[in-house]
Amino acid sequence: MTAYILRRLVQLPLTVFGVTILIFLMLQVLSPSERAALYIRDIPKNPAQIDRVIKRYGLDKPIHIQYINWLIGTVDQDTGDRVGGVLRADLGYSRTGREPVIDLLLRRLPATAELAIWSFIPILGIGIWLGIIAAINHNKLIDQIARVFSIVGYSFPTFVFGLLVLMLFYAKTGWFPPGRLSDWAVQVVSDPGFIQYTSLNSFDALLNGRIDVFLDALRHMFLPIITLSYLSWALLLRVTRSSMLETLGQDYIRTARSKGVAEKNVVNQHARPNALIPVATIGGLTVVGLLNGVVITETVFNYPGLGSAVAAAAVSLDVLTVLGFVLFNATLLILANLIVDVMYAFLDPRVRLG
Amino acid sequence: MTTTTTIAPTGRKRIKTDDGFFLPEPSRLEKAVGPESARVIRGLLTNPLSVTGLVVVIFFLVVAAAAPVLAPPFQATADPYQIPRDGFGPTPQEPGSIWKRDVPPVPFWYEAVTGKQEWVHLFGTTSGQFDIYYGIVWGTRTALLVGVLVVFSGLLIGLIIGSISGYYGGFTDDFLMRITEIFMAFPFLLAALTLSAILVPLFGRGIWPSVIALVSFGWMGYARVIRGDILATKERDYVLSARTIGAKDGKILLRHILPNAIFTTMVLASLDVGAIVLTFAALSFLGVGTDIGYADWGQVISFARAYILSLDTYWYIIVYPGAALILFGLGWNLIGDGLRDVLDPRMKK
Amino acid sequence: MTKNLRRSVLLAVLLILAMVLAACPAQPGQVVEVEVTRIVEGESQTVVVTATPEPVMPVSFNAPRTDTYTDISIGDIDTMDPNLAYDTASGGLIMNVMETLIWFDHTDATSFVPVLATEVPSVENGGISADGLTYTFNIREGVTFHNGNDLTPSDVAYSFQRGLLQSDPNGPQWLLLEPILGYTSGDVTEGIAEGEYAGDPEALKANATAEELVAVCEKVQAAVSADDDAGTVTFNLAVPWGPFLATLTQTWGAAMDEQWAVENGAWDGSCDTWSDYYAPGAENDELSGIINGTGPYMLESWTPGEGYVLVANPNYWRADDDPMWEGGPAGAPAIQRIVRRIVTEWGTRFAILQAGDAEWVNVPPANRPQVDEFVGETCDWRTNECTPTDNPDGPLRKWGDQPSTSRTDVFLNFNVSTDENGNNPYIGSGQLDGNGIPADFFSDIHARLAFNYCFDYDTYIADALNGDGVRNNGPIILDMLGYNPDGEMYMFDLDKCAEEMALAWDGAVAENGFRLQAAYNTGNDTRQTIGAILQANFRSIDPKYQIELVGLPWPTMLAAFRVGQLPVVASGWVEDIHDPHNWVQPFTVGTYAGRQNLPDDLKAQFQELVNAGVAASDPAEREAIYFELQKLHHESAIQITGAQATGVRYEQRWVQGYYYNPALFDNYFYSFGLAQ
Repeated sequence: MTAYILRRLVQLPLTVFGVTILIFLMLQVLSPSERAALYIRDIPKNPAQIDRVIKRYGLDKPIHIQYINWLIGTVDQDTGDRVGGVLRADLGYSRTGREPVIDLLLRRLPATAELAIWSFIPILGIGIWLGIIAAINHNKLIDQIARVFSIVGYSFPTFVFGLLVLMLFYAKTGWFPPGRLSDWAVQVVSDPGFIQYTSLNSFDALLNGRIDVFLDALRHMFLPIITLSYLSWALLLRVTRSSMLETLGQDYIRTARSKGVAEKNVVNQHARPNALIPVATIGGLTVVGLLNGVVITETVFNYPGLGSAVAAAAVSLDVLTVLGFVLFNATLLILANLIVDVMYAFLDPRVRLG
Repeated sequence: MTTTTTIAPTGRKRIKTDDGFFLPEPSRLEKAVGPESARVIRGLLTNPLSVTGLVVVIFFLVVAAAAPVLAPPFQATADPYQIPRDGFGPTPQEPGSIWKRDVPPVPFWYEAVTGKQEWVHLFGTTSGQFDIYYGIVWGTRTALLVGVLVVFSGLLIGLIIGSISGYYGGFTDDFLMRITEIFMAFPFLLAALTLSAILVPLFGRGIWPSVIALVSFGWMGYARVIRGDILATKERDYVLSARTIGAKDGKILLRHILPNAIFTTMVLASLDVGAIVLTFAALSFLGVGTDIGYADWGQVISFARAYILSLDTYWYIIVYPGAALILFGLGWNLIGDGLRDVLDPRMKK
Repeated sequence: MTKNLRRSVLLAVLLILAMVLAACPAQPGQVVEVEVTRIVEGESQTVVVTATPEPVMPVSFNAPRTDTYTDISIGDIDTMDPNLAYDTASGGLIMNVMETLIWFDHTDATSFVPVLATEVPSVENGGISADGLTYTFNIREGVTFHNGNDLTPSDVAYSFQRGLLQSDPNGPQWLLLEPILGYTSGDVTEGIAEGEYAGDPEALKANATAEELVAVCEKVQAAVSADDDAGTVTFNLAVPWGPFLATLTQTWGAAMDEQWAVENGAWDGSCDTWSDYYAPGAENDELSGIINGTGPYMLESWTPGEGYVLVANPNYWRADDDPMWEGGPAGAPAIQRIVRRIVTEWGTRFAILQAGDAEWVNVPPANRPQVDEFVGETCDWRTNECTPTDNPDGPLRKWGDQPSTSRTDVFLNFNVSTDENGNNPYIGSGQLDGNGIPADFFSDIHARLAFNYCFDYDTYIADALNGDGVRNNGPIILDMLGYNPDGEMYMFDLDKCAEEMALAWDGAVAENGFRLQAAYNTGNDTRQTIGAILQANFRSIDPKYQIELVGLPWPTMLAAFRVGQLPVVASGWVEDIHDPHNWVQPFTVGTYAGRQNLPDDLKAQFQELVNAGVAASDPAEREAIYFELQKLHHESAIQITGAQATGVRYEQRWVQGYYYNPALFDNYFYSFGLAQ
């Protein structure tokens, strides 16, 4: 097992290296003056500006030079020092974020992490619960309702769903505002007396004993959580349902039933633990799926997390920001896969013994 | 659809095979498409959910085919995928408003159905006075084209990579799977977003940048599933026996392995058609999809953004395109679900 | 399972309820007693009502947050370095935190009041030399920066020298380089190897000799110099420059603290090191994320992508009896906190405005009809008079009819560039065979006139600009020196358009028709609408007249524009300084004219008038020159002159002290107050 984990960890940088090359290759289809568009907003007022920008940012240099510069940095001519370079933990400057990429990612990560953590509870809880209910009541009305519910969720465009709940629960009622915190809460949080243990507002608020800030943070996250959950339930419900159905049809369950074990205990003690093994796989991947979901969700709800920042960067061809995010994401994805595999081994004795 | 009556499975003759077994005589459908496919088709046509899905998808196919009749373009020379506009003002007009500027020809059925002669905005107009009805009718073509094209191309790439990888194994398998992993390290939506943004300067705004981007990052799932299926299938007796009699690799792959491995991917593919169209709409929403005024549901629906607080007045700018999107996704998902039920070994009788 | 579940469902419901309840009461600071101001025959009296409010009560508009002004905008700032900032969002922050030598006199964009200078220089008071080449400013004493340092004349000179030597390609310095050093390329290294290394700091440091570099720096120091003993700063211009004062009175003329700048790693003022700070870009600029000024507000915090907070400067230098202009703000600023948040989604901004959670939000022109329903009074910025609307209880105030300083026009390329095979994707076949146009299609005046007659100006203003626009008859905008109210303009006339098209290219166009592509950058609805109007009108004359609209993504547009490929392009200009030179120069000889490939003789005619206009100091003389220039512009019909958009501002009715000055980037919060 340890060898397996180590092998996976060694593969991580290789995959990430491939990812960065892929992005730089994609970029090669654009001409220098097209890439200059990231730095120039409108028809330049001084005609020489485009050429000067191309030179300033080395956009006319060959792509492999740009890649090497990005990877290991450049040498300052006066001092001989090497500056920048990803391998030296410098991801470059985010043109759309207006700060170094690493700062942008670190500053925005807590907001997204907070959202993901809170979304995880309803996604897993309700998704799995619905799947089990549907399987137990196989082909009954409740099963059909759950399936239609999941299919509709699967067919709903995220942004339409987001805009609709925004209209109902904010514009019409004012209950759940967009953003991350109210102005008064921002002032509380940025006060030196408020200790930022985790940078996750909701948890920090509890640790500082500020229930009002906690509720405010949750109030702002409510609609994004609902949106992310509803769209993720569809998949989980499906997987849980079919996995549960499969398990319920197996011999040892039939044996249990024939021995007269109460149906409730059959489900709870015999079927469910085994049925949840594949669900664990999907659950782990849901974390990564959430990172996908937040791109649109954060944009709609004006939630200042990674998703909205990266969406803005991608649209403006801000390659450095996108690269930084993908590095982060690739690492996370591979780690998540690893954890899922380990969990799998833990849950399923057959894998462990084999 | 009319062929449903001919596949009734009852009362068929039995025939003797070469090795002495008796099998039911194949029905016309089985003769035409083979026994396994016939079972799938029959299953699809008897499940109420998948029948609903089929009806919905066929409805969209009919709308797409009849688009020039349902919503005639403004001029024969004009690009029919450009939604005609009735002026340029920002405030949407409600359904039934009379068309004032650049009136397209009135379709022949209109007077017979409504008794009116003046062409109206059946579903109202968006901000910018684009006709919603026209956008939805012609957007059906965009949706079908994009959905089927992206899924089919992705399937093809996945099929090639997955089968090579699964069949040959070893270094080839390792190498191809690492490539697949690199592509999977991108969050799908973000990858599509980035590549579209890069391709848009090359191809111009339209469906192509998004289609290419969605294909580029949409094949990995198929590749993995096919590889897994092939790994499972290739140790089976009939493949091993084909190999021992010296059949060529390509032939074994095409004749014996793929047909058995392909069904699982079909489930994935049919589910994906709906999902791809939603993603395509999301790209338009984020600003790298089709250009303003292109007949694409996502484009039409993104006009509703600015009026989200006034939807009790302007409900039609989100309800019609939204309904089209959801219905489309629903149709393909129902088919996919039905297909899986049919293919699920536990459901086999 | 079910028991646990029921418990968790109950918990979830309770949590939601708690959040809803938390949302319902007003923010902290809610009072039980309601203070109501009643107007009794012109006399106001405040009574305290403890009971529930009476059902019929005059609506009062008091600020819910007594010390905070919140505004919601759409764009983040690029940089806080005044030498580098060249976008309105950055300008809006800098102009409230830092100060310039002189400032605009209230609503007047062309006359000035002293700020960091003690008086506005003129020929009469000796501040401007008779030849118009030397400007001298007396610097105010007793002014301190936010960090406590005193302002000196050297600080002012340092600020300008640093900017000129920084010369970033994306910065505003080209506006100062032209009058001060006479450089037209916009780069301070123009004198070294004919500008070979412009924009490329590595190449400059590697290739330019030390002597060349020092010479550039000394030239700059000679052009802008300070005399701390005399308390003066002197500018020695390379050419007489009519709009020089207007050029200084923008954020790139703000004074920074030299000591503070050097402490933070910026250029130390030495001629040996300046090339290390040349063309840095916001990412390498030491002063991009920090700011220290003399102004009425200080920066409290900036969160990139989310917004910033300003707080009142308690030690602001201006005395209570020294108003900025007559009746203007004096003493300490009235509002304690300015919160600027960025919300890109319009629906969200609108919801915030309706909830009363912001004093101002950015309203795009297309969404004005939605907001108009909430307007209770409309005010005229010229007279400051307000009239109630049909909905007098509406919570918003609208300031309408503000002539903006931007306009979108259509530029016709006299000779588009083609590749070695004579191809260009935007001109079809490249011939007058009905399937394209020749590269020099618009060198024929009749073709240009036809385009001018075929544009439906009224529809454009009514639909694309939502009625908020006014036509101009030449490059110069309305109400500006040099604008000729009697100047001729082309009227929408399909018959004349057809006539001119028949004359164009000796009838070849009318016979075969034409096909060309009109480009706009996607996402810019105004530019697309302009193309659609031209397209529809030509089509209605003859279906053979085909204009195809192509939406180009911004990168493609920029690349095609750079090489002069686009035959017809709609583009907008936003002025940098409120002076006619900033309009006639780009439109007839500069940016646009260059990309339009105007013939040399026509360009020479314009150039002569532009040069004469900027050098003349007498307004009457300048006006005469600009009248002549606009006449030439009209007769040669080199562009379709569109309409100047008029701006509208919506604010909560408890906001006080707003005024409009077309030259301002953003609100000047020093004059603002909140009704209590």
